[in-house]
Amino acid sequence: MKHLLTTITVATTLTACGPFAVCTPNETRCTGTLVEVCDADGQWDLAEDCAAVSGDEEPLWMCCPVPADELGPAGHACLPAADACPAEGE
Amino acid sequence: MAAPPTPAHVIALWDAMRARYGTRIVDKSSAAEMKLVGWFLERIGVLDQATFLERFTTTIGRRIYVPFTPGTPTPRHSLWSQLVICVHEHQHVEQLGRDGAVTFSLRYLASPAARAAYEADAYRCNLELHHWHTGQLPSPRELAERLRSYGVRDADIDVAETTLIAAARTVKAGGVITPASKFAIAWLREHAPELEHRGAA
Repeated sequence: MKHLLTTITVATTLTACGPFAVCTPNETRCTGTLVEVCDADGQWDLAEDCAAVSGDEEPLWMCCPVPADELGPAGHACLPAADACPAEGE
Repeated sequence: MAAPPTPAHVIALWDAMRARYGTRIVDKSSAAEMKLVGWFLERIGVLDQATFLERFTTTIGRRIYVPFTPGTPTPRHSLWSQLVICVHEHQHVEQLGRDGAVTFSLRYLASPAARAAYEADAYRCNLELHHWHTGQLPSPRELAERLRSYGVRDADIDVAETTLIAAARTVKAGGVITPASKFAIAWLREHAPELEHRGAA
Protein backbone atom coordinates (compact mmCIF):
# COMPACT_ATOMS: atom_id res chain seq x y z
CA MET A 1 0.00 0.00 0.00
CA LYS A 2 2.80 2.37 0.96
CA HIS A 3 4.57 1.50 -2.28
CA LEU A 4 1.38 2.20 -4.26
CA LEU A 5 0.89 5.60 -2.59
CA THR A 6 4.51 6.51 -3.27
CA THR A 7 4.14 5.52 -6.92
CA ILE A 8 0.94 7.56 -7.31
CA THR A 9 2.52 10.57 -5.61
CA VAL A 10 5.61 10.45 -7.83
CA ALA A 11 3.52 9.92 -10.96
CA THR A 12 1.20 12.80 -10.06
CA THR A 13 4.12 15.09 -9.36
CA LEU A 14 5.78 14.24 -12.65
CA THR A 15 2.51 14.71 -14.53
CA ALA A 16 1.85 18.01 -12.82
CA CYS A 17 5.31 19.24 -13.78
CA GLY A 18 4.74 18.22 -17.39
CA PRO A 19 7.19 16.37 -19.58
CA PHE A 20 10.88 17.21 -19.32
CA ALA A 21 12.35 19.15 -22.21
CA VAL A 22 14.25 16.87 -24.53
CA CYS A 23 15.26 19.37 -27.23
CA THR A 24 15.90 23.06 -27.81
CA PRO A 25 12.88 25.00 -29.16
CA ASN A 26 13.09 25.64 -32.93
CA GLU A 27 15.64 22.87 -33.43
CA THR A 28 14.75 20.61 -36.38
CA ARG A 29 15.79 17.09 -37.33
CA CYS A 30 15.05 14.20 -39.68
CA THR A 31 13.70 10.96 -38.28
CA GLY A 32 13.41 8.67 -41.26
CA THR A 33 10.99 10.38 -43.64
CA LEU A 34 9.74 12.73 -40.92
CA VAL A 35 10.72 16.35 -40.41
CA GLU A 36 10.43 17.12 -36.71
CA VAL A 37 10.49 20.50 -34.99
CA CYS A 38 11.20 21.06 -31.31
CA ASP A 39 8.23 22.91 -29.85
CA ALA A 40 8.25 25.68 -27.26
CA ASP A 41 7.89 23.10 -24.46
CA GLY A 42 11.02 21.28 -25.59
CA GLN A 43 9.24 18.30 -27.15
CA TRP A 44 9.77 16.91 -30.64
CA ASP A 45 6.69 17.41 -32.81
CA LEU A 46 5.98 16.12 -36.30
CA ALA A 47 6.18 18.92 -38.86
CA GLU A 48 6.06 17.06 -42.18
CA ASP A 49 5.88 13.46 -43.32
CA CYS A 50 7.87 13.42 -46.55
CA ALA A 51 6.29 10.10 -47.54
CA ALA A 52 2.96 11.93 -47.78
CA VAL A 53 4.18 14.89 -49.86
CA SER A 54 2.97 14.95 -53.44
CA GLY A 55 4.41 16.82 -56.40
CA ASP A 56 3.60 17.29 -60.07
CA GLU A 57 5.51 14.23 -61.14
CA GLU A 58 4.95 12.27 -57.94
CA PRO A 59 8.63 11.92 -57.11
CA LEU A 60 9.79 10.36 -53.88
CA TRP A 61 10.39 12.98 -51.22
CA MET A 62 12.90 12.69 -48.44
CA CYS A 63 13.86 14.64 -45.34
CA CYS A 64 16.99 16.68 -45.96
CA PRO A 65 19.15 19.10 -44.00
CA VAL A 66 18.85 22.50 -45.71
CA PRO A 67 21.31 25.39 -45.49
CA ALA A 68 20.20 28.92 -44.67
CA ASP A 69 18.52 30.62 -47.62
CA GLU A 70 16.18 33.52 -48.37
CA LEU A 71 13.37 31.72 -46.52
CA GLY A 72 15.17 31.34 -43.23
CA PRO A 73 18.00 29.79 -41.26
CA ALA A 74 19.39 26.29 -41.80
CA GLY A 75 16.98 23.49 -40.90
CA HIS A 76 15.33 20.43 -42.38
CA ALA A 77 12.64 20.03 -45.03
CA CYS A 78 11.06 17.51 -47.39
CA LEU A 79 12.70 17.74 -50.81
CA PRO A 80 12.49 15.61 -53.97
CA ALA A 81 14.62 12.50 -53.66
CA ALA A 82 15.89 13.10 -57.17
CA ASP A 83 17.70 16.21 -55.92
CA ALA A 84 20.65 15.64 -53.65
CA CYS A 85 20.07 16.99 -50.16
CA PRO A 86 21.75 20.41 -50.48
CA ALA A 87 23.36 20.46 -47.04
CA GLU A 88 24.14 16.75 -46.79
CA GLY A 89 27.66 16.04 -45.68
CA GLU A 90 28.15 19.50 -44.21
CA MET B 1 -0.31 36.19 -63.90
CA ALA B 2 -3.23 33.93 -63.07
CA ALA B 3 -6.87 34.94 -63.46
CA PRO B 4 -8.68 36.08 -60.32
CA PRO B 5 -11.36 33.77 -58.93
CA THR B 6 -15.01 34.40 -59.71
CA PRO B 7 -17.91 34.01 -57.28
CA ALA B 8 -18.80 30.76 -59.08
CA HIS B 9 -15.31 29.35 -58.40
CA VAL B 10 -15.62 30.15 -54.70
CA ILE B 11 -19.09 28.67 -54.34
CA ALA B 12 -18.13 25.54 -56.28
CA LEU B 13 -14.95 24.89 -54.27
CA TRP B 14 -16.81 25.31 -50.97
CA ASP B 15 -19.46 22.90 -52.26
CA ALA B 16 -16.83 20.37 -53.36
CA MET B 17 -14.98 20.49 -50.05
CA ARG B 18 -18.17 20.35 -48.03
CA ALA B 19 -19.15 17.23 -49.96
CA ARG B 20 -15.68 15.70 -49.53
CA TYR B 21 -15.47 16.34 -45.77
CA GLY B 22 -19.14 16.26 -44.76
CA THR B 23 -18.98 19.79 -43.37
CA ARG B 24 -21.66 22.42 -42.96
CA ILE B 25 -21.36 26.20 -43.30
CA VAL B 26 -22.99 28.30 -40.59
CA ASP B 27 -23.43 32.09 -40.68
CA LYS B 28 -21.23 33.14 -37.79
CA SER B 29 -22.97 36.43 -37.08
CA SER B 30 -26.31 34.75 -36.40
CA ALA B 31 -25.02 31.73 -34.46
CA ALA B 32 -25.88 32.05 -30.76
CA GLU B 33 -23.03 29.72 -29.76
CA MET B 34 -20.51 31.97 -31.54
CA LYS B 35 -21.87 35.05 -29.76
CA LEU B 36 -21.35 33.18 -26.51
CA VAL B 37 -17.78 32.23 -27.45
CA GLY B 38 -17.12 35.82 -28.51
CA TRP B 39 -18.48 37.12 -25.22
CA PHE B 40 -16.25 34.67 -23.33
CA LEU B 41 -13.13 35.61 -25.33
CA GLU B 42 -13.82 39.28 -24.64
CA ARG B 43 -14.27 38.59 -20.92
CA ILE B 44 -10.93 36.80 -20.66
CA GLY B 45 -9.23 39.54 -22.67
CA VAL B 46 -8.22 37.52 -25.75
CA LEU B 47 -10.11 39.66 -28.28
CA ASP B 48 -13.32 41.62 -28.47
CA GLN B 49 -16.58 39.96 -29.50
CA ALA B 50 -17.10 42.05 -32.65
CA THR B 51 -13.63 41.24 -33.97
CA PHE B 52 -14.18 37.55 -33.29
CA LEU B 53 -17.53 37.54 -35.09
CA GLU B 54 -16.55 39.72 -38.07
CA ARG B 55 -12.97 38.68 -38.83
CA PHE B 56 -12.43 35.08 -37.79
CA THR B 57 -13.73 31.88 -39.30
CA THR B 58 -14.18 29.17 -36.67
CA THR B 59 -14.45 25.43 -37.17
CA ILE B 60 -15.97 23.25 -34.48
CA GLY B 61 -16.25 19.62 -35.43
CA ARG B 62 -17.67 19.65 -38.94
CA ARG B 63 -19.43 22.99 -38.60
CA ILE B 64 -17.61 25.93 -40.17
CA TYR B 65 -18.77 29.32 -38.88
CA VAL B 66 -17.99 31.92 -41.55
CA PRO B 67 -18.20 35.73 -41.27
CA PHE B 68 -19.03 36.04 -44.98
CA THR B 69 -21.22 34.43 -47.63
CA PRO B 70 -19.02 32.32 -49.91
CA GLY B 71 -18.98 33.92 -53.35
CA THR B 72 -19.84 37.41 -52.08
CA PRO B 73 -16.67 39.47 -51.65
CA THR B 74 -16.41 41.97 -48.82
CA PRO B 75 -13.71 44.54 -48.02
CA ARG B 76 -12.36 42.15 -45.40
CA HIS B 77 -12.83 38.88 -47.28
CA SER B 78 -11.92 38.92 -50.97
CA LEU B 79 -12.94 36.02 -53.20
CA TRP B 80 -9.40 34.66 -53.10
CA SER B 81 -9.26 34.83 -49.30
CA GLN B 82 -12.59 32.96 -49.19
CA LEU B 83 -11.00 30.17 -51.24
CA VAL B 84 -7.97 30.02 -48.96
CA ILE B 85 -10.14 30.05 -45.83
CA CYS B 86 -12.14 27.15 -47.24
CA VAL B 87 -8.99 25.03 -47.56
CA HIS B 88 -7.50 26.20 -44.24
CA GLU B 89 -10.65 25.31 -42.28
CA HIS B 90 -10.98 21.93 -43.94
CA GLN B 91 -7.40 21.15 -42.90
CA HIS B 92 -8.66 21.55 -39.32
CA VAL B 93 -11.31 18.95 -40.16
CA GLU B 94 -8.47 16.72 -41.40
CA GLN B 95 -6.73 17.20 -38.04
CA LEU B 96 -9.93 16.27 -36.24
CA GLY B 97 -10.21 13.07 -38.26
CA ARG B 98 -6.53 12.25 -37.83
CA ASP B 99 -6.28 12.82 -34.06
CA GLY B 100 -9.86 12.13 -32.99
CA ALA B 101 -12.32 14.69 -31.67
CA VAL B 102 -11.39 14.32 -28.00
CA THR B 103 -7.62 14.49 -28.44
CA PHE B 104 -7.85 17.31 -30.97
CA SER B 105 -10.17 19.40 -28.81
CA LEU B 106 -8.26 18.87 -25.56
CA ARG B 107 -4.86 19.57 -27.13
CA TYR B 108 -6.14 22.59 -29.08
CA LEU B 109 -7.75 24.17 -26.03
CA ALA B 110 -5.27 23.18 -23.29
CA SER B 111 -1.85 23.46 -24.91
CA PRO B 112 -0.55 26.65 -26.57
CA ALA B 113 2.20 24.62 -28.24
CA ALA B 114 -0.31 22.17 -29.68
CA ARG B 115 -2.64 24.98 -30.74
CA ALA B 116 0.23 26.70 -32.53
CA ALA B 117 1.17 23.42 -34.24
CA TYR B 118 -2.41 22.83 -35.43
CA GLU B 119 -2.63 26.38 -36.77
CA ALA B 120 0.80 26.23 -38.41
CA ASP B 121 -0.33 23.05 -40.14
CA ALA B 122 -3.48 24.81 -41.39
CA TYR B 123 -1.49 27.90 -42.43
CA ARG B 124 0.54 25.59 -44.65
CA CYS B 125 -2.61 25.54 -46.80
CA ASN B 126 -2.41 29.33 -47.17
CA LEU B 127 1.19 28.95 -48.29
CA GLU B 128 0.40 26.14 -50.74
CA LEU B 129 -2.59 27.91 -52.28
CA HIS B 130 -0.75 31.23 -52.55
CA HIS B 131 2.16 29.56 -54.32
CA TRP B 132 -0.18 27.69 -56.69
CA HIS B 133 -2.01 30.90 -57.58
CA THR B 134 0.87 33.40 -57.73
CA GLY B 135 4.08 31.38 -57.98
CA GLN B 136 5.30 33.36 -54.95
CA LEU B 137 5.78 32.29 -51.36
CA PRO B 138 4.26 34.39 -48.59
CA SER B 139 6.55 35.26 -45.70
CA PRO B 140 6.58 32.41 -43.13
CA ARG B 141 7.09 35.01 -40.42
CA GLU B 142 4.02 37.00 -41.45
CA LEU B 143 1.91 33.84 -41.49
CA ALA B 144 3.24 32.81 -38.09
CA GLU B 145 2.50 36.27 -36.67
CA ARG B 146 -1.20 35.66 -37.35
CA LEU B 147 -1.11 33.22 -34.44
CA ARG B 148 -0.91 36.15 -32.02
CA SER B 149 -4.72 36.19 -32.04
CA TYR B 150 -4.83 32.59 -30.83
CA GLY B 151 -3.51 33.08 -27.30
CA VAL B 152 -0.15 31.46 -27.91
CA ARG B 153 3.27 32.46 -26.56
CA ASP B 154 6.04 34.25 -28.46
CA ALA B 155 8.03 31.02 -28.39
CA ASP B 156 5.11 29.17 -30.05
CA ILE B 157 5.07 31.75 -32.84
CA ASP B 158 8.79 31.24 -33.39
CA VAL B 159 8.25 27.48 -33.65
CA ALA B 160 5.34 28.02 -36.05
CA GLU B 161 7.66 30.12 -38.21
CA THR B 162 10.22 27.29 -38.22
CA THR B 163 7.50 24.85 -39.29
CA LEU B 164 6.33 27.20 -42.05
CA ILE B 165 9.89 27.77 -43.30
CA ALA B 166 10.25 23.99 -43.72
CA ALA B 167 6.92 23.90 -45.52
CA ALA B 168 7.89 26.83 -47.77
CA ARG B 169 11.04 24.97 -48.87
CA THR B 170 8.98 21.92 -49.77
CA VAL B 171 6.36 23.97 -51.62
CA LYS B 172 9.08 25.88 -53.48
CA ALA B 173 10.40 22.50 -54.68
CA GLY B 174 6.95 21.68 -56.06
CA GLY B 175 5.49 19.71 -53.18
CA VAL B 176 2.07 19.84 -51.60
CA ILE B 177 1.95 18.72 -47.97
CA THR B 178 -1.55 19.07 -46.58
CA PRO B 179 -4.39 16.73 -47.56
CA ALA B 180 -6.86 19.63 -47.80
CA SER B 181 -4.62 21.49 -50.27
CA LYS B 182 -4.03 18.32 -52.28
CA PHE B 183 -7.78 17.93 -52.72
CA ALA B 184 -8.36 21.63 -53.41
CA ILE B 185 -5.52 22.00 -55.92
CA ALA B 186 -6.60 18.85 -57.78
CA TRP B 187 -10.15 20.21 -57.89
CA LEU B 188 -8.99 23.67 -59.00
CA ARG B 189 -6.76 22.23 -61.73
CA GLU B 190 -9.73 20.35 -63.09
CA HIS B 191 -12.40 23.03 -62.70
CA ALA B 192 -10.54 26.36 -62.65
CA PRO B 193 -7.12 25.87 -64.30
CA GLU B 194 -6.99 29.56 -65.21
CA LEU B 195 -6.39 30.36 -61.53
CA GLU B 196 -2.98 28.64 -61.57
CA HIS B 197 -0.04 30.96 -62.11
CA ARG B 198 1.20 30.89 -65.69
CA GLY B 199 4.77 29.97 -64.88
CA ALA B 200 3.56 26.62 -63.54
CA ALA B 201 4.93 23.42 -65.02
